[in-house]
Amino acid sequence: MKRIALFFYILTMTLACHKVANKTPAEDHTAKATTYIDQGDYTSAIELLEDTLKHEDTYEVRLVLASAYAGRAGVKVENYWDYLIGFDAFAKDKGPEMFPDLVPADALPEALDDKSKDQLKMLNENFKDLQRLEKKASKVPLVAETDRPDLVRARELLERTSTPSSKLYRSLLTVVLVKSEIQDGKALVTTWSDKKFDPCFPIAKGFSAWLSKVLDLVSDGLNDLGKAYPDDDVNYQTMRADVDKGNAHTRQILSYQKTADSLCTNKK
Amino acid sequence: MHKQKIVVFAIVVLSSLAANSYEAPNRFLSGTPGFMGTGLRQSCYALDVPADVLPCNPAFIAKEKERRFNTNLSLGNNVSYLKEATDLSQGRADQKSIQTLFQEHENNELQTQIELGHVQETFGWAITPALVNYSTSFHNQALPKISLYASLEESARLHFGSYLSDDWSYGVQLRYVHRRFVASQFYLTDALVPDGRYLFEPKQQYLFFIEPGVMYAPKDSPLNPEFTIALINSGFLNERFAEVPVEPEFHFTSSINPELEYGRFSLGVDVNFNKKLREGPGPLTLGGFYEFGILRLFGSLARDENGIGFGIFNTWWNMGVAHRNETYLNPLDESITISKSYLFLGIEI
Repeated sequence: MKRIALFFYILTMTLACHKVANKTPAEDHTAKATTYIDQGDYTSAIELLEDTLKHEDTYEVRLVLASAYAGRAGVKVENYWDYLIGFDAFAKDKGPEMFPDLVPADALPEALDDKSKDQLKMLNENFKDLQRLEKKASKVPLVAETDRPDLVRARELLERTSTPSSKLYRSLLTVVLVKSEIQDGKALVTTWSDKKFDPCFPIAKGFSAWLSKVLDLVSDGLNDLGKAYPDDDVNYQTMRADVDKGNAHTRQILSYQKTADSLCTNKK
Repeated sequence: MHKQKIVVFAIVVLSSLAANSYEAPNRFLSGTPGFMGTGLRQSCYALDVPADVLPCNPAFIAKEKERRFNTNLSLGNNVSYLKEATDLSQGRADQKSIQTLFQEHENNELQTQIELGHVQETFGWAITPALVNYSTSFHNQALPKISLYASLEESARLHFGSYLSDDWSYGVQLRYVHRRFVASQFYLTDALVPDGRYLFEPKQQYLFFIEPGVMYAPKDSPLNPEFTIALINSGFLNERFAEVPVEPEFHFTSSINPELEYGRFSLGVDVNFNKKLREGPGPLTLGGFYEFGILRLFGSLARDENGIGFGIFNTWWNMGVAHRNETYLNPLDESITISKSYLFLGIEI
């Protein structure tokens, strides 16, 4: 009887004193940050995890911190998850949509040489591609310029992660950023078209720089998608090569712009 | 003495094992599903009340006097998710069913079962052709993190027992469970990449339990006290999964059953010693019920949860409603309470 009593005593004490497995500080902080995010307090989540990241740089910390930045910028995957399932913003299929030329043929400066005219045609094509992408991304939000640094930081945090899942998330953030940047580009185009696409108008140089920046983002997004869907990586890399080629032309336009600048100075 | 040391050592080693992966909600693994099990939770082991067909605690089977055949259907919240939950458990989930599951973006829970069984003096059996459990929780609207548990269980239970003396009796429950389940915790984007298909691959578990109980009920006391010790979840399984831990539980119960002029009343307390004393509802659960005619009222109270309910048990049909509140601390140590209601329907032959 004593033995049985001793057995139950030890059993009870062992069970009662058993400690619940403790979480690591990073796990504890990501859980807390997630609760802050649930409550809409993105700033507290960011402050907590930015501090955690200095001491414990883990995948989970980066992912939750990136989501806190994205959430503060207004990007909540919860609202676009069905869009993500059919993620095709970068799909190569150009669809039947027709978009007008950025620089209409009749607006091309007569004095331009053939090489420059070809480059402007390429610019037209690049801009049409971006408009197609924007249309496909109609479900994702526009992010105000003031909030974009948060998106940039979120993408930066995810850059050093390597899972297909985080790459898919990063590519979604890229689409949001591209869409928002395209809106800026449209504003530039409107202003420039008012000046009949005068290459001497100061905005022309800014437009080329903007286009190059956006194409860089698209290329980056395609690269992420290739990592998210390794089976389709070849397709995404082909598309990326096309975009990079278009971007090379855009950069050439930038170099042409230097010549145009000197011509415009002489003209004045 | 040598054997004793080995047993103690084994208990210490087993107790120190810490599971790191996602665990299914404890309420789905407690072994007390159904109407009374839902309403009374652990105190169901302390009370001599038919929990749907068989008593929760096998120690009470020796006291059974009546012969009856029951068929019960219990429905919980969100019955509309039944198809998705069974599809998931059986590996038939496709992108569309997953899309349906996540359409609501909310925390959902479903527990529904059909059970039939027969009880007679000192003996009873019950078969559950289908017990469906389903639970989802969503966190982080910026990048949803989803906890998902879906299971489909078939089980069979056999109770037998007898009196050892005027005051002492025993009962044994033999329980067989076949469980198919999906238990995952993941970010939404994890589910959308090619590797995501592994998140919804169902697993199978076969369990066989031998669950003994002993009761001491002194005859000459006006309050008719009953004391029991029962060992639950002791048995064999084909494979262990961290997601659905199976831990033995020692239930020490005591109850009083004063004789009333009108109706029947019982108040009991269950002390549940298991590996997870510091989690969930805690080791102590107080419960009670009052029966008068066709009406039964019951309630339970534990550290982090409480429940109330009522049932109408007519000659051949019965129905009931149970309501439960669960309180837990979120990672910011804020107290959160969630409430759930359950509906129960049954026929008795």
